[in-house]
Amino acid sequence: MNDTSWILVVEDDEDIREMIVLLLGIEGYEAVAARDGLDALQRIRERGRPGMVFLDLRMPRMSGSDFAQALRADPALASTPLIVLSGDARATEVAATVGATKCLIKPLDLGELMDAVTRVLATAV
Amino acid sequence: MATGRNPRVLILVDAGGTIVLAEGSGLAYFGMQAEQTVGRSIFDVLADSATLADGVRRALDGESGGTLVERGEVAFEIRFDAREDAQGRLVGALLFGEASERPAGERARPGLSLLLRQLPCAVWAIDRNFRITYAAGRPRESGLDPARILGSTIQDVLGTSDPEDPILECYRAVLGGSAQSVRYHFRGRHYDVHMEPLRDDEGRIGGCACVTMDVTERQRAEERSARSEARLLEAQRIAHVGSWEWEVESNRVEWSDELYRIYGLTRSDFAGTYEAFLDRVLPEDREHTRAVVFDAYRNVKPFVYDHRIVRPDGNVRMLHTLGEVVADAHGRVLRMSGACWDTTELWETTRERERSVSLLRATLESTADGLLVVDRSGKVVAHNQRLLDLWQLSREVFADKSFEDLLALVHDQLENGEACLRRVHELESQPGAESFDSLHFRDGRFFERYSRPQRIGDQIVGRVWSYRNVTERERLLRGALFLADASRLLASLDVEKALEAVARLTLSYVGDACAIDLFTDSEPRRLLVLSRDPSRSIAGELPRKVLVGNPSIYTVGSTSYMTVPLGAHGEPLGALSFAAASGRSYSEADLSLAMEIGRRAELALENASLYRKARDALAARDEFLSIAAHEIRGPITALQLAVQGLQKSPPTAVVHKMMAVIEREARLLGRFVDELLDVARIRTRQLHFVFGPVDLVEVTRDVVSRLATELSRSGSSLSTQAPSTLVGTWDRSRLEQIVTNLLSNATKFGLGKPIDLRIDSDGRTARLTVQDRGIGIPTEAQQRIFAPFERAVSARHYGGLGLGLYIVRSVVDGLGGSIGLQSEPGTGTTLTVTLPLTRPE
Repeated sequence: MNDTSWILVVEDDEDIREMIVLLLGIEGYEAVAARDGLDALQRIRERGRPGMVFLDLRMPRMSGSDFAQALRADPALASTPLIVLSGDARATEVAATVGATKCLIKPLDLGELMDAVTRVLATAV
Repeated sequence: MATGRNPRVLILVDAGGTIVLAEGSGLAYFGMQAEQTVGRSIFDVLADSATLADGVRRALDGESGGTLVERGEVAFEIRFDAREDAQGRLVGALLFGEASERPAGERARPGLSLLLRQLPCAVWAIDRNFRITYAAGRPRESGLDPARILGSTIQDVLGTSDPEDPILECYRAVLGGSAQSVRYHFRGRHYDVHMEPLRDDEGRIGGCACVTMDVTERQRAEERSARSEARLLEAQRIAHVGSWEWEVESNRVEWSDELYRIYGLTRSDFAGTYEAFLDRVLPEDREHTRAVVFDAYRNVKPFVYDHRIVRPDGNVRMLHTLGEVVADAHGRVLRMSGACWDTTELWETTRERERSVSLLRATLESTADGLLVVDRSGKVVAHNQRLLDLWQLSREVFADKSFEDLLALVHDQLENGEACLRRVHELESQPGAESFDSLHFRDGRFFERYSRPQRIGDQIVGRVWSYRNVTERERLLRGALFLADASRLLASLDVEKALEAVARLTLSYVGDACAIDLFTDSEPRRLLVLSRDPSRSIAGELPRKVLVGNPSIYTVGSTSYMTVPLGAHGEPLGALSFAAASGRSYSEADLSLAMEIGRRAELALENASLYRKARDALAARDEFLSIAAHEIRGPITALQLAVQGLQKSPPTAVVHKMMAVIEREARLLGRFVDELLDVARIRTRQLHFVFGPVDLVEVTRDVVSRLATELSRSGSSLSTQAPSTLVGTWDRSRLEQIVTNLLSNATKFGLGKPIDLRIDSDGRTARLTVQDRGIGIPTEAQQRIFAPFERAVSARHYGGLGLGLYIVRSVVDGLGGSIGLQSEPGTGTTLTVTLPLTRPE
């Protein structure tokens, strides 16, 4: 796996975050969990640019939108594919404004989740 | 004629009366001598004999005549003859006298012919052949000379050849032995002629003797009298005037024909007595009639009075009577007489006119309208009291004023005075036009003014103005319109704008200025002031009465004010004030209207407040639904991913993790459902409690252990201070709910810092205190967080339905306890629940 092969999962709900990380792991992806935007930025500083980011919008400390803006502000990170996860059907609009590749509405389906990963990473490679 | 023996006189005078010739043996009887008399004036000579001088004078005037004068024992028959020349001109007169033939010793008697000449009568006789055998005297105007007609026939003298002539018939009758008296018309004069047969010694009728007298004057007088009486009767008939006479002594009453007609009686119907007359008088007028007649009788004086009579057919007539009383030298009343005038028609006309005038006056005065009638010259010819009242004019001020004066006088009372005056002047050039307009008074009154020409026949003689006070109607109408407009404006939910619009609307109706005050912390704050005249100020001070919620009319300076309170649920919220236009004073009716506006404004305020609350509630509900959806999707996502992951047959360690997630998330979902159900129960007041002995310390321990994972994940440590046991009468599951909520809130918002939990008791109550050192709650949010769907922080960052504290408070209430909150943002929150140990009443 190259530098961009890992997947960052930014989600404040611990159970969901853990499940996504676990499932991505089962499918053979390296997934790294972050509990909010600040945490996620810390992971990127540690690991460099991820291959893609699963990003929840509602989070304490730093929201998904704020994180996305920070990401886009950094030229080195700006092109990182984002997949927005949200419990709110209206999140699609927010996803578009932050330049998300896709917006997945909770409850998430495992097949849907994996399909999104496959497509994003295929395009990126 | 006899000659010789008897003394004679003959005197001839010229036209100037100078004696030309005087002779005869009788001259001495007259104191004259022939020689001395000639050349003298006859009037000097006859100075002592007026009769003779007069006869001469007449003769000199052309009128011959005669007279009889006595001189001593001798009576002279004197003739005076006028003398004419050949051309018929008067040249003088002749006086000829001859002593009468009578036996000596006898007293001298005037001769028959002389007598007949002196009297307007004539005597003649005819024979059986109608031939005149004797004639003497001559009726003055007949022109017949007895000397000339002697020997002529009657037919010749009268100039009639008709054998049937009535006068000839008379002669024949006389010749037949029957004396006749006829009135005969001859040559323009009237004669009474009496004819007697003339008999000889054997009694045979040989002719007839006739005597006649000129009765022309009498005839004329009789005719005049007859005509006059006829005219009188005719006049009586035409004028319905009848005359009467009452011989008091004999009680005989005489009526003229017309009086009978007036009474509708015939002569046979009337007994002709005073009592019979009284019988015909209308019973109501009898007493008066008696009194009048008695008074006239006693005082012997004329009288005039009116009384009514009843005709046999029941018809009542009004009579106007003039009476006179005739008395003898001793004042004894002989009779009364007078005239009665049937004035029924006049009386009825008068009565009808009086009725009409009275009706007109009554109508004029009883109408609610003020009426004014003005002639073409602008003079006021009629008005009623109502007009003065309406225009607030005294009788003195009104008197003698022209229409123009009156207009000038009342002009200032009007708002639209100029327009009204203009209309009056326009109508002056259109006398036939009708007009209708409204007068708007400065004091708030409204009149309708109606005007139409006054006509007599086809001629326009003036104009009738009618004024009606329609203030009340106008007030109601305008009030209704105003309230409708105000209600429409107040329907807006932007209350301040609506109030301003209403205030603006009131300017055209209620007053010159309007102010709205709102009471904030009981101190009035002026929200808005509107004035028709921007330079005019409106009093700022509100009367005390209004501050405590009562409407009030008051005066500041010379301006009338009214203020009505605005309130909600009995609490004064503000006040609505109006300042009247100058000269106008607010009435109770105005105040009622203002109160009505106030009520509607209150309603608008309340509606707006309700609307705001409803809108906020809807927003809170929408927010809650959004949060709830998010919160529920979280656990479902975790559950779904775990279940789908399990299907992939992951390694055992992963399976365990997934099973733990499933259990945790399922419990979370269950709690959500419980909370929602609890909210529904609280809302419908169906939150039930099962009371029993419960140990609070034990319950707390159980909850802490159940939340251990949550606590450890949050990073907060929990230190507990509690007695070994604290038992009260509570509902165990509800107690668990309280502890769970307090603890999970502390965990959620504690920022991973230490949490303290304390339980203690004062013997009556148990106290549970949970203190975190987390984000804290801002003061303004501290009340709000106990309401459903509320949270102090954005749901974006902290999960949960936001129902926790709402449910806790409801449960604590249900257990008879209380909940207290102490918090400061950044410092942390302390929640204290105090519960009675025993079951609440």
